[in-house]
Amino acid sequence: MIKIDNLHKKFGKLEVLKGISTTIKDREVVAIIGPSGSGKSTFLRCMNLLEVPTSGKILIDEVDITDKNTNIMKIRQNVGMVFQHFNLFPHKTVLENLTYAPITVKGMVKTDAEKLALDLLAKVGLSEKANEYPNRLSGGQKQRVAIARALAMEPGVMLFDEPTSALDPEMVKEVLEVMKSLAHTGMTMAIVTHEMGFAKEVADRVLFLDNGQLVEDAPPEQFFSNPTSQRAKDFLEKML
Amino acid sequence: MKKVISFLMLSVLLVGVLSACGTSEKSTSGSGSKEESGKKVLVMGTSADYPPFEYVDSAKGEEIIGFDVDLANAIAEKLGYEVQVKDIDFTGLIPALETGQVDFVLAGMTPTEERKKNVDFSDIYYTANHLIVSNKDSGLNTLEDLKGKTVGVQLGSIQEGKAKEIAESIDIKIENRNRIPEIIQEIKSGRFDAAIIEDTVMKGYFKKNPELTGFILEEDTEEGSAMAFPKGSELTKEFNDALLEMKENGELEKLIVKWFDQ
Amino acid sequence: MNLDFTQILPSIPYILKGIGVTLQIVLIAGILGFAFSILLALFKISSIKLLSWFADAYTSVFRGTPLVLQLMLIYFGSPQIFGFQIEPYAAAILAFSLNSAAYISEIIRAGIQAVDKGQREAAMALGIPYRKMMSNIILPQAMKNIFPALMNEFITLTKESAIVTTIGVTDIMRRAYIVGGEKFSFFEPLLIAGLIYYLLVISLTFIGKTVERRMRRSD
Repeated sequence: MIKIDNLHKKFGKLEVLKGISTTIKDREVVAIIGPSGSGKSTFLRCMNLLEVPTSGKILIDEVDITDKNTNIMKIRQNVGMVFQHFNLFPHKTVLENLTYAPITVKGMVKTDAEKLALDLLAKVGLSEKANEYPNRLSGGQKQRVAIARALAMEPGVMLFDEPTSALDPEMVKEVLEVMKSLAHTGMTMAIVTHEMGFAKEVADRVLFLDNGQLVEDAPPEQFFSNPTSQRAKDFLEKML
Repeated sequence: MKKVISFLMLSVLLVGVLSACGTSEKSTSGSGSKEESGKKVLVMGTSADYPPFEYVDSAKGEEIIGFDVDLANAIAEKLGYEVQVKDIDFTGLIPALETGQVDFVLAGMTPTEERKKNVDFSDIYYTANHLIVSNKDSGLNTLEDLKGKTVGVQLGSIQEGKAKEIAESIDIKIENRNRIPEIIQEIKSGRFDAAIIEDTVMKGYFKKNPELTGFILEEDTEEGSAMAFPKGSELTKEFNDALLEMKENGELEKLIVKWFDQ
Repeated sequence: MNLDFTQILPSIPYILKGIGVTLQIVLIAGILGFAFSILLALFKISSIKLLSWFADAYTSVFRGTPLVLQLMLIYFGSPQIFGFQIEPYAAAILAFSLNSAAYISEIIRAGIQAVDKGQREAAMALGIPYRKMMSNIILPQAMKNIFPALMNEFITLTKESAIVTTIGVTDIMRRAYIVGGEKFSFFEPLLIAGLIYYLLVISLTFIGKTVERRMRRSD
């Protein structure tokens, strides 16, 4: 469970997040949407302290990650992240990308890590690419590997930062399929996305951010058919 | 990546083996004479590119030989020391003495007032004549002929001082170079009209370069080569006593004949 | 100019032995300098002001003064600086590694900063500690990019190493001088030394290109 309480983030004088509070329950899939510059990526990156909040609290499973005494490395092991630009390690093979962190960080035995990695690659449909280098893969394949890499740490929560925005249109679907099946396994997920159809279909809840504020927090049916705020209405009009 | 690393390691290894040969050779180059344990080792600084005073018979090996080396060994034997010869560029010899890198210097070095400020000298052990060297067709036969000419000398050498003395009465342009071979080359290439070089040293060059000639620079005072020691070193007196003994019993003369009259 | 190489011929093995000396100095200095330069580069990008200040000052001094001067100071100054004599050989290695560390650290710093910052974020998000992230993720990628520049630095070092003659290390150059003195001839030994240096540099260039090609294979 992730509990976010009055989260503020400033970059210099610019206030990007202006007091956001919400709770993401276990096994819940939350889509975070909003116009560009609304602060949704920053919001997501605060959840594993890639951005350090200016004020406010974030509790993951009752542990305050903004507390200085918290071992953030430990927290991050439990929070997987998928980036817009994949960020695979180009000098490691696909398999090594998956096994590196479990072996290095969790001290997993190599054979176990490889077995886990091959299982995960099978799940994202890329078993045959295990020994390729990332630059031999298409964008969609890279992103599926990136998802598998995050899952290899066996996290309790997965964060997705616009996972399909850098993909060619024909590759979006394969990545969304993987995410969808992941959602069905009961993974807790927070997804920043522009894919409205996907949000509508997969998310349990939609968070609509605009100008650093959480404007709407509603189930997708309600949000897409009957948004309460004018800002959400304007946004949806442009998107749909 | 692993392959690259192992490849790198391999090449490192190869070069390491190669260079290991290099060092083992090097260590032998220092110690001129046979090892005898129990004796105190003195390090002698010299610049091994100045035959017949000190040089390497490079076709045969690494050992530094020459008049100075023999003399040093002879004196050391009398005094119960062992000598280890260390090759240093001539300009670095005095700093090496001052900083204690070497215990004494024998390098055909002439005591000058400037040098005496920084190091102590023994008595003169060898006196040489200075030659004015030039191309045969230059027609330089007397000091007066040098007027308006460019004269080369070795940097920091006694000949440099001589050249300055000459310059007081005759208008010459003095140029210096680090080493004698460079000076010879400059004469041959025409950049120097003449040079001042020790006669014993020139002997070899005359053989090699028949187009060169020279005449002796007449001197008022006798000057020559001496051994140099750090300021206040106790070795100075010990070496002087041994040198005197060698002068008196003819040993020094034998060495001079051995190295200079071939 | 009439060159006579026959007289030099028997002395060529003597000069050749200088290759070992030169290579050993350059190689050890290269490796030590490289290791030290990584540390310096990490200091430079460090958020701790004192460390980055130190690394910048260090680079500035060692790039801002002649190498031959540093060599002289270290060799002749060793009794004052360290309180004991150091061998010319050790002085040469010390001077060259300290000097090249200054240059290489700049190359590495630029190399690290050229690695996509997403790599850092991905490593952080996986909970990988800073040290492991640097040594296993960031530096390997930086090295690949800067390898040609490193090789260049190494080649420069090989040629520059000839200044050890000033403190009497019997490297290729010093041996050429000594043979020149012995044989009363100037050009021939120097030409031989020049040829040796040139062949060394050519071989190094070749090795560098080969390694580079192998590294590229993962692209």
